[in-house]
Amino acid sequence: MTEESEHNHEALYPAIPQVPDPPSYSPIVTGLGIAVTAWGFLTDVTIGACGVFLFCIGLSIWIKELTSEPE
Amino acid sequence: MTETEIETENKEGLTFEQRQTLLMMKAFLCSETLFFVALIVGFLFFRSVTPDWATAQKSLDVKGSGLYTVFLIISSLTLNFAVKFYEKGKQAGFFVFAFLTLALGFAFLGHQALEYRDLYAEAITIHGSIFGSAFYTLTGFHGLHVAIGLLCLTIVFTLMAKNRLRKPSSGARAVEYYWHFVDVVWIIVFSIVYLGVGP
Repeated sequence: MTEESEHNHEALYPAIPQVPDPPSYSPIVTGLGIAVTAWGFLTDVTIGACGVFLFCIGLSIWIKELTSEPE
Repeated sequence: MTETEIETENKEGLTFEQRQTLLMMKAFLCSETLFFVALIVGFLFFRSVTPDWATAQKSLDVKGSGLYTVFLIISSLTLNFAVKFYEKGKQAGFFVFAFLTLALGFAFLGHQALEYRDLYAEAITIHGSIFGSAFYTLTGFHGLHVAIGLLCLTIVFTLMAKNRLRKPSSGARAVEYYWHFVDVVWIIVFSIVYLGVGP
């Protein structure tokens, strides 16, 4: 492999960090919130309120992750 | 920016973690595709076995919904411009296109709500007929996706307006993917439900 092609290869496939970020709980909490809200919509207001609460927690985790991306 | 961070970014300036996020968004959209495929197949099946389907379908506002379909398609374009302007640091352009995106999205959702009200006034309800059940389930789930998309867009735009997101931001890109997906799904749903395309 020549020096130039090595450089192109690095541009296309950048080095992968050794330690990836920890997994996020935001998607599962948000998704659970939507499902429980829908369940509560069909059955009971209290269950719906729990769903909305979970949904808000999921969103807040997501917002925190969005704003903490390294520059 | 450190040397290590430069190495881990691709040509678009996305880091390894950001590309992971976008990959997961694509995986999520694949599962959403299967969800809508199931709903569409169900709709087509019920249409093929229901004799008075065509009569009920005449109650739909094809022209009005067609106009708002165009609105939704335009909102995908304006969202793309809004994200691009933000990434280039052009705040004025970002504000204009972000506002247009939200306005078009809310207009689409508002039209859907008004259409439901009119259909209910004509006694086409979710419990009343197979057409009603299939129609409200398919378009309702799409409307729910639009509503969630608008909520996410509002959050992302607010953070962008406060300049609190990285340039480029994986969150903004992920929401953009989601919105384009919702847009494409609606084009298919509109063609099948309103225009009668399909078997």
